[in-house]
Amino acid sequence: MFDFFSFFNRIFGGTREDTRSAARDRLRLVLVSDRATVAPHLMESLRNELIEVISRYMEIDTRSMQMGLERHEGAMALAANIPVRSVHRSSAEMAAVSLSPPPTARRNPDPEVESLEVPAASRPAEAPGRLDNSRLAARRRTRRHKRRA
Amino acid sequence: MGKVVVITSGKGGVGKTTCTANLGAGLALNGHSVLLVDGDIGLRNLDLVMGLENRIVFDLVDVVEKKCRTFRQALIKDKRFENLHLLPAAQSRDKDAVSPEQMQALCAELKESFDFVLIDSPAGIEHGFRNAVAGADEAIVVTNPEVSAIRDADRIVGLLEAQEKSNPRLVINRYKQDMARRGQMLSIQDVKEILGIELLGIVPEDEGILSASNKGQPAVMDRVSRAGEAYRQIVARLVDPSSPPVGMPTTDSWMDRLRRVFTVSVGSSGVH
Repeated sequence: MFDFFSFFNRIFGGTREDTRSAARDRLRLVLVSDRATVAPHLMESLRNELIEVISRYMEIDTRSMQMGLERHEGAMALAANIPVRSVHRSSAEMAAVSLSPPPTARRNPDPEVESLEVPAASRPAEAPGRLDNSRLAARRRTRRHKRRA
Repeated sequence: MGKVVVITSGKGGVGKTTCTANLGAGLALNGHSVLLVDGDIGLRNLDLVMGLENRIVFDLVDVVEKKCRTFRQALIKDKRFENLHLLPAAQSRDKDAVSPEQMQALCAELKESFDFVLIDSPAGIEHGFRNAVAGADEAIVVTNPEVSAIRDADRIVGLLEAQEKSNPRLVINRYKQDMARRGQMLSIQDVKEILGIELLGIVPEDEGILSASNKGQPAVMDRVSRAGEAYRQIVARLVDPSSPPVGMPTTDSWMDRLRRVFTVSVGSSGVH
């Protein structure tokens, strides 16, 4: 049925902006950080489990590791800065054998990653998901090195 | 044996007490035996909203401290209903007068005698909230389609889950369908997605709620009140989970507006 009330509202009340999506988007973001900050043990146990998983593949510097939620242009991101000391040779070889991706799936080596002292053997093992953390850490570490320089 | 349901929200002023009063009255109208417990020690209001403020002798703290023989001595019977009682909160004490363990023991005793024990939780997440949820079997979270109320509701849901009060259910109160339609208010879908808990009901904004609390007569008793209709639907869902799915009680059409205008003028002419 034609709604006279909203019709008159529109004529005399002027156009009003859509505030619903602003409310929804702001709430979504704030709840991500709320939920993470009210439960410190959540971040702590995530950190410990991450260390455990990554340590299977590489030796990392857990003391200078940093992890937290950051806001990036309308989204929350879990940002981790995990310095890599070395990659275990055995796990690198094993990953290369069992997970060698088809040639098309091989990504171009990240120029920033290339500048690192990560053994080359680890790179073909860039199976999706598996070593993304090392890539992230590597990228972040290079940035830090650059900043220091 | 009955069950203990806590009505909570985190943020104040979203309609916990109104919701408790209406669900209690609605359940009693449906023939269930109901006890309303005002958990807001120091800031009691459920008695006023229910229109029972003049009959208080003993209160919740007296029961816990065994100043009356049994809890029955502290109950106020609502004469308008077959089987509705109120256990008022203490007004002169503070929230620390009762401990969660005492509330747990009390709730276990109360639900032996009633089908439903509804606890009106105070706002906040501190002692009073912990008391109110301590003995509850189920929880209803009341919120408004407004950012601060939803943020607080999310916190409450987290706390309830941490206390293993599983599957809290949501009541969205003061929903303005016109505003949501114009994109000026969070929609039901938005709130549902953000909080991610089961929706128990939607209560539309209704001026009748204010006149109801003015009179001390829950809106659920008013046949033409839209909020009252919403509460009747929620009651049906509380009793029988297979009752019709959640929807807006009535669409705000011209006919409804006309009917309400007509009802109001009839009502006021009766008063003069």
